[in-house]
Amino acid sequence: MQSKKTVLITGATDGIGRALAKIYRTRGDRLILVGRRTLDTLNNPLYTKNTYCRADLSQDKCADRVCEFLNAQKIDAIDLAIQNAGTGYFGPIAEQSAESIREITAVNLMAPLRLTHALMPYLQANGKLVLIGSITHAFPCPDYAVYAASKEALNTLGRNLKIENDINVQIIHPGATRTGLHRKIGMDNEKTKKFPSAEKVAQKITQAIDGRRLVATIGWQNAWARFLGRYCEGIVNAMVRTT
Amino acid sequence: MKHAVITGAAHGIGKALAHRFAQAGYAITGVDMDTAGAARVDRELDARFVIADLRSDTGIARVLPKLIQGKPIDVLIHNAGINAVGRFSDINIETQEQVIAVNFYAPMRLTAALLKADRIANGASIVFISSLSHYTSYPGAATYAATKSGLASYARSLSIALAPQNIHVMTVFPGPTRTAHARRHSPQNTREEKRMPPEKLAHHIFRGVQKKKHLIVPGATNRMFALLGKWCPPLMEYAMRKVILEKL
Ligand SMILES: NC(=O)c1ccc[n+]([C@@H]2O[C@H](COP(=O)([O-])OP(=O)(O)OC[C@H]3O[C@@H](n4cnc5c(N)ncnc54)[C@H](OP(=O)(O)O)[C@@H]3O)[C@@H](O)[C@H]2O)c1
Ligand SMILES: NC(=O)c1ccc[n+]([C@@H]2O[C@H](COP(=O)([O-])OP(=O)(O)OC[C@H]3O[C@@H](n4cnc5c(N)ncnc54)[C@H](OP(=O)(O)O)[C@@H]3O)[C@@H](O)[C@H]2O)c1
Repeated sequence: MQSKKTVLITGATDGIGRALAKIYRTRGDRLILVGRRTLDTLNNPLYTKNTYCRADLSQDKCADRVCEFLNAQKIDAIDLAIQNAGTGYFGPIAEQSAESIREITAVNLMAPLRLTHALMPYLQANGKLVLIGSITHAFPCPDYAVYAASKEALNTLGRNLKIENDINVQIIHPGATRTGLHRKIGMDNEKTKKFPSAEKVAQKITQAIDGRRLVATIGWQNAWARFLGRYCEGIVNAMVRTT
Repeated sequence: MKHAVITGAAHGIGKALAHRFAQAGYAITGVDMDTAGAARVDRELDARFVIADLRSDTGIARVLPKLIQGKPIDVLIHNAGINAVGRFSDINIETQEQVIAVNFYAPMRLTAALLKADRIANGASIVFISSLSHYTSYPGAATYAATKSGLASYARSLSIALAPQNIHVMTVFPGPTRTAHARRHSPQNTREEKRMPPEKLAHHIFRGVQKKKHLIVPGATNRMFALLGKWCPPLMEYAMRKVILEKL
């Protein structure tokens, strides 16, 4: 039997984050679920006033909101913090609004930075920090350049935090997953039907979290793709160029 | 007369770039927040400067109309950059947020807005100054390293997105360069003479633009470290920990 853990998940109101929350709930863990929606719109027993922390991660003070919630709940140690919330934009670079660039930078990069900084005292000793990246960080992404760049920055942040060794950190890169994300960012939803479900991907993510790899890619095809994107840059660039 | 826009052009690498491109006959527009430094470069080169702080949206909002009303841009160099050195937990979060704002957010904002306003000329080059840390890692400057890798990723995507419009994109990964920036942020400055002079780096960048290269790691030693870091990360990470992190 695994002992009960305290697990914090950001972006836990949809997609992969919600699927992760369900898995940890079945394990009997103490959940802290962070999202931007109001509690009354979330009709699911997962979310209660003791588990759900409302914080808009695109805002400057988001880490304060989370810490206030932890204090109110008298939680002073976290075993696992999964920074999963993410957003994007799909379309021509010149058409992307300033607000969209700001939001992606804030949610995908600033928020993990702010939360990591704020949560360090809670994660001391046995705690683990997980950053949810994306295999797109290893590719040129002409239609979602800012998103991929934010994920590459996150990957590098994790790598260097690991070397600094003040915190136990892991970076997990999922590949394409069937969630609401694509619709939210303005991408064609047809293609996403073939992607694996959020539940399946979340299951694999929890396996990776139970393991010890610093960087884990979900699925062997994705691991290969990521390897090619990083180490055969020229070939991959040429392939993307012609499609 | 061709037109080059260089951010952070009052000092260091940006100033050397301003000189190098002016020498090749470019009209220079600099962006910087140091009024006195900008005035000096202005006198030397008859450059035009926009004084603004790229850490803030208001700063970016000051720069954009000036550039959009100006001449079409043939070379745009995102050079302004700041660092914050120390263990991640020791550096206050506001400082780290500023590093992201200047190094990562501002270049993307400027690029998107200038493209939208059609200010980037046909055949132009957009240059991003990343850092060798992209290959070697940089413990003791985790946020800085994150922004520089993020910038390299953005440039890689941009390069493909803009190829049909005949706009060239180049990423530069400089190693240690003899500037005030390097002096401020290094544990020791005893071997400062080993750092590449900014004038030499500027020349590499100028040549890279002429040859329309996509990636450059200037200097043979830096190239060797980049290769080691790329193909054998643990080795470079170990070295960076010894040389930088443990000396902080
Ligand atoms: N789907 C894929 O193909 C894929 C592939 C690789 C990596 N990923 C990564 O996996 C993670 C989860 O993505 P997903 O596919 O599950 O997307 P999703 O279904 O859209 O879920 C994203 C979650 O983040 C939350 N969120 C977004 N902006 C927020 C903000 N400002 N403040 C607080 N919460 C915010 C969303 O809240 P709302 O419910 O209110 O929207 C939602 O709970 C992301 O980091 C994503 O980049 C996804
Ligand atoms: N030196 C190195 O070893 C090295 C190595 C790799 C990469 N790089 C990169 O190369 C670039 C140039 O570095 P450098 O060594 O030349 O640095 P530097 O000597 O500090 O010069 C940077 C210039 O950018 C300006 N600047 C900084 N923050 C700004 C802001 N918020 N708004 C407007 N202007 C701002 C500075 O103005 P103030 O003087 O007023 O601050 C200065 O004129 C940076 O992106 C750096 O990360 C440097």
